[in-house]
Amino acid sequence: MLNHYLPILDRCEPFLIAHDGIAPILQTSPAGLSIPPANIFHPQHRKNGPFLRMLALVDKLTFGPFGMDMPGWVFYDCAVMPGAVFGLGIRAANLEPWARQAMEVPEDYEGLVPVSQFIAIPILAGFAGGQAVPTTWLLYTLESMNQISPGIAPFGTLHLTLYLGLQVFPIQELWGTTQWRSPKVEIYSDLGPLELVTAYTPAHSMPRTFSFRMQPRSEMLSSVLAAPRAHPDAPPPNALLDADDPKAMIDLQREIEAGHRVVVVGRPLNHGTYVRVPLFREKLVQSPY
Amino acid sequence: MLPFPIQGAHLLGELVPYVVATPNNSAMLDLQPFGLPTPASHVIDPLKLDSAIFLDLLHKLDGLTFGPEGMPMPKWVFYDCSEVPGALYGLARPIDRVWPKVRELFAIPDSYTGLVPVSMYVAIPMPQPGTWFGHNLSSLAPVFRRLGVIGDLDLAGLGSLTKGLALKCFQVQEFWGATQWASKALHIHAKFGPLRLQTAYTPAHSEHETLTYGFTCNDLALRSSMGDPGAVIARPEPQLWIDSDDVPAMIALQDRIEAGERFCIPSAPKRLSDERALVPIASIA
Repeated sequence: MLNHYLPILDRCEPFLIAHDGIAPILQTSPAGLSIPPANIFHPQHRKNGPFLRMLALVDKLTFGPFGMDMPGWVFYDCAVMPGAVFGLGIRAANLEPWARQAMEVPEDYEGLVPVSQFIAIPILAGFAGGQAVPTTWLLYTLESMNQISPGIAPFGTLHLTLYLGLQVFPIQELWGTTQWRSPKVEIYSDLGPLELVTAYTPAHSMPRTFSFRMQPRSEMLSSVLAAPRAHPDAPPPNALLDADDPKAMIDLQREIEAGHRVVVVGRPLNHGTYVRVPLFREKLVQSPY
Repeated sequence: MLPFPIQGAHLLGELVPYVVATPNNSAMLDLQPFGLPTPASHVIDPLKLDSAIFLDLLHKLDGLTFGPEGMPMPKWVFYDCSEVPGALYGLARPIDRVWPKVRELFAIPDSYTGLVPVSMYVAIPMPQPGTWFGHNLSSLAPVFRRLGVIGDLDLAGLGSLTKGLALKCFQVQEFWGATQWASKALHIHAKFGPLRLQTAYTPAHSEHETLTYGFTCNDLALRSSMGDPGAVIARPEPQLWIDSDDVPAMIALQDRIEAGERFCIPSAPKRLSDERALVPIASIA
C-alpha cells in the first residue's frame, strides 16, 4: 500500500458485512490489512441493526441526489445476501459532534460508524466451466461520505476503499455500471482500460449509463492510489465522447452491438463546460457478448 | 405441455415463455425447462437498444404488482440487481393476441410487435454454485382480478407455474428468498416443501417483519410447486404459529435462530384476512 494512504488508517478501521455462506471465500486481510473479527458483521443478526441503519444512511446521502438510493429490501435481497460489503469506519467517539449529527449516530452508540462502502455481487457467468467460486463480479456500489461532506472521513477514503475492496473479493473479471458524467469514471479509469458492454442503457433508470468489464490485475491495483496520467495497460485514445451527448452515446452503443470493441482508456477531460471521455475504438468481426 | 400434470396447464396454451439474460448468462441457463422450449427470439438481451420496450413493459408489470404494497423495483435495480448478474424468466402474450384492456393498461406503443409479459420471476446467483436468491415474483393475475380487466382466461396458478419453470431454467439447486410474514406469496413458496428459516425478524430489510427462507430445489419440489398431484412432499407437524401481526413473537423466534436453533415453515399459512396470516412453525432436529 502506498505510504501516503496509511494515515487514513490512523482514524479508520476496515469492516466487513458477510453472512456465513460468503465469508469463507473472502480475503479478510486485504493488502495485509487485517479486518478485526469484531468488525465482521453478520447481516442477519439483530444486534447489528444500528450499524446497518447508518450504512443505509451513507447510501441514501450519496446516491439519493441521483434518485438512486438503495431501498432497504434491495440492500438485503440484492447486496448482502448474494454478495458482501467491505468498507471503512470511524469509532463514534472519534467523530466530531457535527459529523455525529450528520451520520445520525444514536446518543448511546459507541461502536464503529461506516464512512465508506464497496459492495460486489457474483455474476452468473462467473460460474462458467464449473467454477466452485465465482470469478466474475459486479461492482455494485462504491461510495464515501466525503462525496457529499468532505472532511467527515480522511481525504482518499474512497480510493483506499476501492483498492482494498477489490482484494477482499475473488474477482478475476469485474463488471460495473456508472453514468458518463459521474466523478466515479475518473477512479474507475485509474483501474485500467474499461471495455464497454453498453454505452447507452435504456434498461437503467439513467440511460446515460455505461456498463463496463475489465480484468483487474493485482500488481496494477495500486494505480488506483497512484492515479497515473495513463494506466500502463491502456492504449492511447483515438476518440473522445462528449459526456452530455446522448446521440453520440447511442451511436457508440450501435457500434458495440455491431461488433466494435470500445474501451475507456483514461480519466475524463474537462474543458470549460465540456466533459470528454477518452476512448479507444477498434473494429471486431464479432461481438464478444 | 409439461411431462406431468399441473394446475393451470391451459396457461401454456395461452402464454409463451421468455427469458431476459445477457448472452454470457443465458449460456448458463436451461432454455427448455421440463422440455418447454424458449424460442431464440424470446431470449431478450438487456444490453441491446432493441430490448428497451420489452424491458419497460417488465418494469410496468413490476409496478402493477408491487406498487400497491410499496415495494416497486427502481429501474436501475432491474439492471444492476437482475439483468446483469442473474436472469428473468416469465410468461408472455404475443402482441397480436394481447387483450385490448391490457394494451391500454401497459400503454403499449402502436408500433410495438414483440411480447407482452404477463408474469416474471427474477433471481440472482449467490456465491455457491447452484445457489440462488429470488427477489421478485410478479404476475398480472391479482391485478386482473383487482381491476376486473379480463374474464375469459383463468390465471389461477400463474405465479406458481412461473416460479417453478424459472427455477428449473436457472438450474437452481439451493434456493433462498425473503418475504413478509403477512405476504400472500408465502402460500406459493410453501408449495416447494418445508421452508427452512434463516431469519424471522430482519432489520437489514426495509420491512423488519421479513423472514428469510430456503429450500432444496429438485424436480420433486418443482413438480409439487406447480400442482402435480403425484409429487407428495413430507411435511412436519407445526409446533407453534406466528401471527403476522405479532412482532415480539418474530423477535423471540429470531433470537432462538441466532442462538443456533433451527426451524422451518412446514406448510402454507392460514389466512385470517387480506392483511393477516397465521404461519406454522416446526423445529428441525
